[in-house]
Amino acid sequence: MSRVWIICETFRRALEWRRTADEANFQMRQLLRVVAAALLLAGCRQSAQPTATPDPGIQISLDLTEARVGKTTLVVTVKDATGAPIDDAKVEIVGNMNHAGMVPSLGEAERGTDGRYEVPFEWTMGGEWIVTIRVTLADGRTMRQQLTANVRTP
Amino acid sequence: MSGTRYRPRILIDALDLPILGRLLKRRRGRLLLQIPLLVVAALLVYDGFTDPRQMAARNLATVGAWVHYRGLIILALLLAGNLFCMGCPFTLPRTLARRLSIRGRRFPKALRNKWLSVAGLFFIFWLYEWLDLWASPLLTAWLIVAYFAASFVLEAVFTESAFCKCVCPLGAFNYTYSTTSPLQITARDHALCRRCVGKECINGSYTAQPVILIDEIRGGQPVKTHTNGPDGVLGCGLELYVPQVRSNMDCTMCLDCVRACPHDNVALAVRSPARELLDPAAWPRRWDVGFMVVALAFMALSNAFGMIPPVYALLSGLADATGVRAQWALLLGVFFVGNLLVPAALTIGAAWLTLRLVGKPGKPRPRRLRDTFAAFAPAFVPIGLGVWAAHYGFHFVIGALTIIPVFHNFLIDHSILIFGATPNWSLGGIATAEQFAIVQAILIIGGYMGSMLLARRIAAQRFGSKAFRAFLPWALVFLVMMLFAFWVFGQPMEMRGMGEIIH
Repeated sequence: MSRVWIICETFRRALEWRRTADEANFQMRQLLRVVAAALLLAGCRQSAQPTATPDPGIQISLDLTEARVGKTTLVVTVKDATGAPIDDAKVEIVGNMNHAGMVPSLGEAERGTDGRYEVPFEWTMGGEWIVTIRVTLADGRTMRQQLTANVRTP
Repeated sequence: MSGTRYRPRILIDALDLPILGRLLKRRRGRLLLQIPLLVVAALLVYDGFTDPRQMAARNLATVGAWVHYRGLIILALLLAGNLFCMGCPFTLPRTLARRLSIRGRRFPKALRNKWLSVAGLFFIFWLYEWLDLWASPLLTAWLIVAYFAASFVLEAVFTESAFCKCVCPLGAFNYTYSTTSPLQITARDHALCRRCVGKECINGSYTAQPVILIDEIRGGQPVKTHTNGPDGVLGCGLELYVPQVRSNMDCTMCLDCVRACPHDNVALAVRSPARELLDPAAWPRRWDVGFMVVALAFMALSNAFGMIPPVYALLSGLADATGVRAQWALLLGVFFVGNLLVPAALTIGAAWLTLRLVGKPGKPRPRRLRDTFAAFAPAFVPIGLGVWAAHYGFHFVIGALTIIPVFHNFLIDHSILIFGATPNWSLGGIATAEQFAIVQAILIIGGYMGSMLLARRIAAQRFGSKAFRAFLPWALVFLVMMLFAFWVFGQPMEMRGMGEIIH
């Protein structure tokens, strides 16, 4: 094998590698652009839910320890900072299963008695649920609280 | 391999379909599927990482992966073939990896089998339960990223599509159940393949410099030639040689063979579904391939078992009995027994019993045991597919429409309000759980009957007049599997995080 051939072949392979490396660099730059765009987009992301105005003085409670599959009435207690019951709020409950592909359960109550709001609700399946309670006061402020429920199958 | 060569008559070639066939045959035809799936994968990863709520029922990663992907894959395998592997987005970074690698080496011989795939399947299903992947958009996104990374690394280092052939758990699932699919790659004219000079279906038609191949010489002159060159395509990445393809096992339906063939001699033929399950020569006499098929059938049962109340009682009981509180260890033990030990014991035991019932007295030799096990392994495909379809179909049917409000919610998060500001969260499934229960029963019974018929035919092929005796142990295994499946699917579903169970 002549030296000239070796030199030419080495040069050719170097060019080939350079061309391949350039293409790889180009693809890498494209990939980095996509990642940067995704990061930028992520920074602009905001929750679709309207932001609740937290009020540490408002107490919201719901007992979920005996949750069983089927229709039920959830009792949400809403009190102010002094412990006085609030009866003119609107209470909404959204229950989502922790498994994808399940339709959420919804319930609401518009008036309470002695701070107790009876919300008709249905646990459609046993398992772990993420329950979001949204309380809208008469002055328009909203409070949100999230709980976990382990719903048993009867 | 011996036996009559099965060559499906090409009544319909999917590649002759107008528009679609022509698009698929084009050099970059595979991108038609790969790019949309890549976009979908990117969306799932993005939503999984960035969603501040991290609620599985409202995130694209969890809804897309655990509801729609799983349901659609079963439909695709039953109605067409290995469409997900055809459009696999994980292989796109391979192109980049290939360009970065200097020269791939072959995957180590000791790993060039299905044992890694079996291990991968075991690992994925164990992780699914231990980390509650079904409830975590973030972890689901990480899983998708891990797939991309593994595909990229293996492709950069090794040739022969090592990731696809020997590692990918999704691929293992798809290969196994595509053996029932109605489409298969085959040669149109096998005589032409024998005369073919370049064997481009496996060697590829790509060359750095143009090369002229002489196909036919008459009177000392080349009368028919074709040229390979830089515009060519690579041959089968899994090194399957088209005239010898008898099975969909290991075929990703990438159609590289179709594009590479200079004679347009490769067809994607419609065939009798599950025909290859009856072809003994289509199945290698190997422990790893047989066990992959068997293990997948049992994993179908254990995966469904993981979603019903008795599993929680089992884990609590085991924790009390053993004093082990680490949920990963308990789950590992349960899955080891259910997904590996029990299938191995039952099927090797059935093979041993078969040989005892039909053979000469004395201890069956290991190779005969392996051959008997491997011969009956394809019979586990129908029952496995039936249970997987009943399970994945359930989640898909009761949650198919949830993708609409989830995607709508995603758009609202990014201030895109073209569909309004309030998603319709009442959209759920295309049928209720009670309605689908009838379909589940049909799928399980259908799978069971398919397995029984198949095992009976295999027994007749191998053992002739002693077929019934040979068939009995396997009939018992399938009966137990079917009864267990009915019991599991008769229980109410109850998905709870494992941390809640072990106190």
